[in-house]
Amino acid sequence: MGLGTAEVVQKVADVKHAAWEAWTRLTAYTPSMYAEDVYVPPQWSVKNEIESIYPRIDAAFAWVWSFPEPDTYDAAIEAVREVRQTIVGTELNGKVEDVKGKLDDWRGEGGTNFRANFVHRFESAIDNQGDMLEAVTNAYKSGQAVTQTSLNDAGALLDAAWKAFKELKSDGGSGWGDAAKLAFNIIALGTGIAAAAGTGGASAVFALSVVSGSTGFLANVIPDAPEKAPGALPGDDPLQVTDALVGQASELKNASDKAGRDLVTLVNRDLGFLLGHEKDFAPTRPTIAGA
Amino acid sequence: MAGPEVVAPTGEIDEVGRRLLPSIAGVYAKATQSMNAACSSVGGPAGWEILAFAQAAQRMLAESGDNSYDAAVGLAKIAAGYDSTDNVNADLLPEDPDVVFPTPPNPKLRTL
Repeated sequence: MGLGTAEVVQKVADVKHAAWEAWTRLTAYTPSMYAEDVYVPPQWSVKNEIESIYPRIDAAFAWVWSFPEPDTYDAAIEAVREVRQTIVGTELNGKVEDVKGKLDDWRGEGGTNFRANFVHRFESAIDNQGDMLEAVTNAYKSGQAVTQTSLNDAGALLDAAWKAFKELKSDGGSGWGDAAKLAFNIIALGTGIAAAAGTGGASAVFALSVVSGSTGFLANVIPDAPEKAPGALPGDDPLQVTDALVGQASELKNASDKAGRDLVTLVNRDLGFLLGHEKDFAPTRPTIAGA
Repeated sequence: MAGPEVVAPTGEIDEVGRRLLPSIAGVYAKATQSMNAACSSVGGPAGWEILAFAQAAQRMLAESGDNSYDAAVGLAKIAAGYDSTDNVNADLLPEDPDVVFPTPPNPKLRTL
């Protein structure tokens, strides 16, 4: 089992709230700030800058909503599994055997055609249909695995971000250092110097960090592939954490897109084969039927 | 126009045409309906083509069902002494497999 989209939605909200708390905590007044005469109280414009984090976080995870709920695949997988069992099971084979048993002494042009082009093709058609339905089942399973792993990884990344925001603290007695950094980063954010990864590029902060946790999504096409949580988010202020979060979310999106493309390749290959050998997947309608 | 000749015991032709083949067609018809449910229950991101794959599989199962039923109709007519392309009374056609066929019946073959 894994996360559903609703749970990831909640995690995004939690992370935004934790980011807000971190900003307010780090910009809080401390006596040492006045003592060193460098502290400038936060302005409303600062609040606006802080709130600019929200859309960045939202945008970073918007791709998640393009996936269906992983659970919705279950019914489809089960339906195809049951269909396959019906086709390759004893019931259908028994009926075909009954027909074959009647045919030994059938003669005439129509009888020959009926036997050769219809009945005798039925067994191979049934085998091929079994393979076809197994491929469809695997396609659904792969789609579910890609979806589920994407959500799980997004959830793990958001958990890491939530933890990082929660752990951010001013450095106590010399809090002005944090305040100064914050002020610098806010200005940098406002002027676009710290490029948002959500717009396509990674910030300098993010570029210097090591993103080791981006799950290899190629593994997603293998059902039940082990999940790998994203790496720790670097940073010692909310902007750095946000940059890293947005960057890693972008990495996850790219990896998920690639997994989707790989899945398309696999499905199209099977679909192409299916359509190229259509006559092998259904018994030919015999001329005995009057075509 | 005379259709292809079938020389066999009338009882056997009738049994295959009016019971066994319609029963096989019924299995496929139900399988096709289940596949339809599988196709409609989940989509996936645009371009994933899973739906197209499932729909192609559904179409081939439906084709097997239709071919089985059409063969049954032809044999049932022959068993009743008609040519496979003749129009016949409804009560001479194969027994109803009690399913809704997913694709339209062949009007030429199933005309009464």
